[in-house]
Amino acid sequence: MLKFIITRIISVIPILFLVSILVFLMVHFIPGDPVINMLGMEAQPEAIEATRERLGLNKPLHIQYTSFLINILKGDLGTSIRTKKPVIQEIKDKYRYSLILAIGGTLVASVLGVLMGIVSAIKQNKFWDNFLMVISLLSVSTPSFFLALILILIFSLFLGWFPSIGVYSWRHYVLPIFALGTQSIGLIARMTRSAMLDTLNQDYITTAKAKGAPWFQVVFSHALRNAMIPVLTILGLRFGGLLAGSALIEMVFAIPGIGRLMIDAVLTRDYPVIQATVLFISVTFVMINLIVDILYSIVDPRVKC
Amino acid sequence: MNTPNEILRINDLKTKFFLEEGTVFAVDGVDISLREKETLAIVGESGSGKSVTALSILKLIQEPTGRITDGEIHYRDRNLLDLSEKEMRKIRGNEISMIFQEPMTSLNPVFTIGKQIREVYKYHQGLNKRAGNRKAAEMLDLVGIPNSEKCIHNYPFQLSGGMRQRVMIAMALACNPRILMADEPTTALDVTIQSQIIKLLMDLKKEMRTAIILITHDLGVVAQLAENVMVMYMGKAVEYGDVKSIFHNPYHPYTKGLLNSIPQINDDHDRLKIIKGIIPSPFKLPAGCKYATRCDDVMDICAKKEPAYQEKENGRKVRCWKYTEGI
Repeated sequence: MLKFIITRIISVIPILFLVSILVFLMVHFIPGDPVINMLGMEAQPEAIEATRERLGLNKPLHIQYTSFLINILKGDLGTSIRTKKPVIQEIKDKYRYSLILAIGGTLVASVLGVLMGIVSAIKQNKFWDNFLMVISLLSVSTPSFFLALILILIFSLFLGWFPSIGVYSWRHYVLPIFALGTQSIGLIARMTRSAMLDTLNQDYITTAKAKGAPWFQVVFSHALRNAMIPVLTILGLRFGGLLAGSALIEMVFAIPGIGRLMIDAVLTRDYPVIQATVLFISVTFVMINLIVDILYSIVDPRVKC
Repeated sequence: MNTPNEILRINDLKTKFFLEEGTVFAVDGVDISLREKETLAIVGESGSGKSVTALSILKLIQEPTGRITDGEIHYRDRNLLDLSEKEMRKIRGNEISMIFQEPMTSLNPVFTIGKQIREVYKYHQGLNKRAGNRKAAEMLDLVGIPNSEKCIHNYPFQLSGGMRQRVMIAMALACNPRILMADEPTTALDVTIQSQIIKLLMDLKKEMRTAIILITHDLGVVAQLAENVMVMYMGKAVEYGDVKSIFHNPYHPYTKGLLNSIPQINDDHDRLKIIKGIIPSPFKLPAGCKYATRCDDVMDICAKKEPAYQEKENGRKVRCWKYTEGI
């Protein structure tokens, strides 16, 4: 077990290297001279030279990359062109908001989705199955920003239960998390349903029943454990989607998250911030999938060997 | 009511499957009587209703597709068909247990062997993990698994097919059941492992008080293990008797066909003997005797009317017009 986890962690290192190289090269892929892009067309040649010198852009690529990497490890992601503040400061709080949204969305989607999938599978082709599958179809096909507006309309404007903008207390997170997670509910419900139907027809389920296992044990222990294997994979991938896709929701709910920061940075060509946000989102994605891999091996012992 | 020593009595059991294509009479009026410690073999080809009979006894027919529509299953003093699901759970795995055909797929791949055996003790004796593990290891010793202490921490994929079938047997015998139903326990195994498993079952049979219902189409296994044999064809019992009489003096043409199709080592024919034809579609059963379409001794009446299941000497029974007097 421990050996498996260590191997997985080690295998992540090359991926992180690749991510850092791509993020580093981003600036060089952008058409035109990055310094002119930064300073504008009218800048004096002396100023351009000075900035180039200051940023180290006149050095060979591999030297630039090395210092880029060392700076990242030291926690220095450069300075925002727009606000002139260190990027790490800009990004820290915003990352936290987005992470809470993504984790919350994933939790909501997995808990509700898995429960819906289980109920559908045990009530196959009966009323509850049809009902829940219609709900899940609705949830998959409703765009999150649209759902966000509807939620604000109902729960903020009409009922006044939850605030509609900002992040000042846990109540502020409720609507954005639901708006973000709902699309994945349907997806996970359908995955769980088909995986459960498959496992419930397996021979070992008959064995469990023949042992005298109560209904609850058969469904939630014997069947669900096996059905979770494909669902887990989807869950890990969805999390990355929710983290990167939270920009729309952050816009609607006026949450200063990393998604919004990234869009603002793209619009104002704030390259250090773009680099940092991409780096943060990619690294989070890699880490979450590492965790999923480890969970995988706990759920399915065959994975370890 | 069961007679003394009789542990299971099934009267006129009918299990049907309601499919889109029509209704399948998987078990169509089967009677079984099983005494304590007796080994009864149920023989027949695939689709004859052997496995469904066993699953019906445990009431594990998948509803709503399948349903037991008629009959009585008297186990000791109770009719199992009158029991609630909760009462049935106390019987399953505890008093009546079952071994399945496919050891590869019958064990849950994500749980350790120990947990899967331990569960039986948890449900029926309320044992905790430690006590359960100890008993599980004892059972593994009993079925001849080396290193039982280590094996309880293994997962099914780490064991061979033969070992897994031993685990299944250990699991089924964990609570010392009164009846063990073995559904083709050796079919999925290769020949050397088959004989090991048969030997194990023979040894266990001597040691334990368990009565066995052995479901198989392997007549060699029947000869080694069983005392009595019931031959099934298309959901009906066609012949019953003690194993010696059935092998030496079969009545029913189907039984004769089955026995004839065993290859003989000193036979100088080039071709194996077979039963001609195939089993009829379960949706289009013949009106009279179900075997009439394949029978060598078919008579006019066979296609028109179903023969009755008649009692013969020494408790033997047969369902065939040839042995019906006064037609």
